[in-house]
Amino acid sequence: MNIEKLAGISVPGPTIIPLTKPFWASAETGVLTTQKCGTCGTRVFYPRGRCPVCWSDALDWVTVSGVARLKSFSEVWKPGNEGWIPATPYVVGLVTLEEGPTLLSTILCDQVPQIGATLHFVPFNIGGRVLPCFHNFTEEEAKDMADQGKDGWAGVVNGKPKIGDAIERKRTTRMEDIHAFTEMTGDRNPVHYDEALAKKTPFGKLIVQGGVTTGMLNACVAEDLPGPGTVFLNTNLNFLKAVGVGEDLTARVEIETVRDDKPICKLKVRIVDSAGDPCVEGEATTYTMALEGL
Amino acid sequence: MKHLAPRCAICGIGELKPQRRTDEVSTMELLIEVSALAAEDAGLSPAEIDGLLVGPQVGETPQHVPATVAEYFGMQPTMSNVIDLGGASGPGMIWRAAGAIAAGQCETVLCVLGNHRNEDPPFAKNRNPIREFDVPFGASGANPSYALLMQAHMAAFDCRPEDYAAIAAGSRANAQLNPDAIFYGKPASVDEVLASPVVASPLHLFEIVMPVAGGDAVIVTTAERAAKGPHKPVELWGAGEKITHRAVSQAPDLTSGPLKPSIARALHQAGMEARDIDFLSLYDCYTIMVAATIEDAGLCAPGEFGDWLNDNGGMGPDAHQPINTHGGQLGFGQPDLAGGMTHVVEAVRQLRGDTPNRQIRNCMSALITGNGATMSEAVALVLGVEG
Repeated sequence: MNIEKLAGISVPGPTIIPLTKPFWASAETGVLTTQKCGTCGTRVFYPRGRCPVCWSDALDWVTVSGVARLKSFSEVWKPGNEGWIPATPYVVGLVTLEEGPTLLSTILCDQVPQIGATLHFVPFNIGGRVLPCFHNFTEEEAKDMADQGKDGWAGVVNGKPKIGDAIERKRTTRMEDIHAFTEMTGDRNPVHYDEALAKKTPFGKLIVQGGVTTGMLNACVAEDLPGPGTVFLNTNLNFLKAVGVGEDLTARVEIETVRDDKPICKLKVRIVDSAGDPCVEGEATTYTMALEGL
Repeated sequence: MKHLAPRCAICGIGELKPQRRTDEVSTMELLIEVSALAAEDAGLSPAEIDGLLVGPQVGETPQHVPATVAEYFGMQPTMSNVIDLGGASGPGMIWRAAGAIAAGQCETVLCVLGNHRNEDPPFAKNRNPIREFDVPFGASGANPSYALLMQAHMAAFDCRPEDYAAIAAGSRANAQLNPDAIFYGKPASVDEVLASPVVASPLHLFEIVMPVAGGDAVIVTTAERAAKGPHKPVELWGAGEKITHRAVSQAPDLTSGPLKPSIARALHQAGMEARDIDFLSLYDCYTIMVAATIEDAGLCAPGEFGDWLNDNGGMGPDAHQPINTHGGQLGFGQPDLAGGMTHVVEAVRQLRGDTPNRQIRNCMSALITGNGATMSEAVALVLGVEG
């Protein structure tokens, strides 16, 4: 089967509702769960509002081992949904968890499996969504596969950015910025405070600390693109023009590359003054932590 | 006082507090909630309820509504239906429930209606468990489900692909006697069936019905009125019905289905054994369906349908117990839901005794089966004519 094609196909995803969300959200992070009835003990799959045996509403989420037995399977050559065609032939199977419930899933395998085969749960990327699939590979093969199929952007607040996405932020520098930066860092360089002295330097004026200017980039990546949860892994900046007090700055970040397996981007960054002259230009690498579900 | 309505009584009620808005709940969550209230009020456990009447579920479940609801509820009703009478649906359910109970279809009927008021209207026409939990894994449509049933059946009993293919070939052969059949003039041998493309292993293309446009209608009346008509009346001698699940993952058994108890009940009501039936008009969306039905009817042991068919002399009008003489849906074509009715219409023709080209000699009784979803919705009828 064409496992490597699964991430790129365009197919319908699950129609998740609040009741069923815990199942999908947890499966995506590698933890397979079912409901369990607190009244009669029945393991319930798929998730329901009440236990299908005793109609009790005392249903809890419990983790299952992810070890399962293949109850039946089919190698699909002509899918009912056209989006699956690039992945044909692929295998669907009925999978009975060792805890009892049976579910239908995509079976990841090199060769058509045997009924009764032992399978293991693995979160896998199908059409850009990480879904609970099952495989019959060795532990090592499975680890490679999990890395390969992983959606590094799962749970990221603003989702995965696209190459070429860009945003801008504007701000006017103030004398208070210089004081605040000194308070933070202890940087009391006379070029920020002694106006008479500063006028004699090549800058010809009081200038703000470089961190005041580049701090705008922190705001850009943390607030907008890639968004909340983002930290810098690396910045490489050229300071091209000094920035004085009371200047109108525009910071811009643009996505250059995006990794699929990890929430890491390379960005082009640039800050210009009101004359349009570049003050700072360079590159940055960011990592965006998944904050959803924390 | 003398009451003319069918005798029955209401023993439990439930009601949810009205809410102006709901937050992304499914209709199903509300239905199970209110049903649990009614069951509690009646002092009944879910297992004691064997009838189910529900309303349409626009925007969530376009078809197979009772099976979808019953599966969610963990019920296996012997009578179920969608009542689609708008604001009259509620009262309409009550007297249909009474009619079903009086007819012996079931004993205790849950009549339930409910709706959400979610902020965002549904974005898909289908938002039910099978859509959420099966479709995203590549199992759209009926083919994968029946492939899973067939694979399990083959593995459990070591059946050969040729055994199943013989059902498709036999249906095509019967279609050569029916000029209306979509495969009239197009027979297919067992080898040709097995040479047709695999759609979803182990199912080959020729083992799957061809969708066609069409229609079938039947009129039912009293025995008295039927006796005055132009034809020999074809009587209902027995019936049975059962739903066990909706999604194939929820099937209690992959190699035997709800037709087993349904056929047993229909035969019991008719006072007959399966081997005494003159004509088998068996629902055949896929070859596996006929195989499982022959076994569920008790005509042979599980896994032995292939040998049984051989001993039966195939499926034609001259076979020991002829099967699907109109070609079955595999040979005639499947006009969607009317496909199931073609089995009733052919049985009536055979029982009247005037089927052109393919009349079965001395045909006095017929077993008709209907099957829905993933071998999960079953109805069996025994029809007959007095000698």
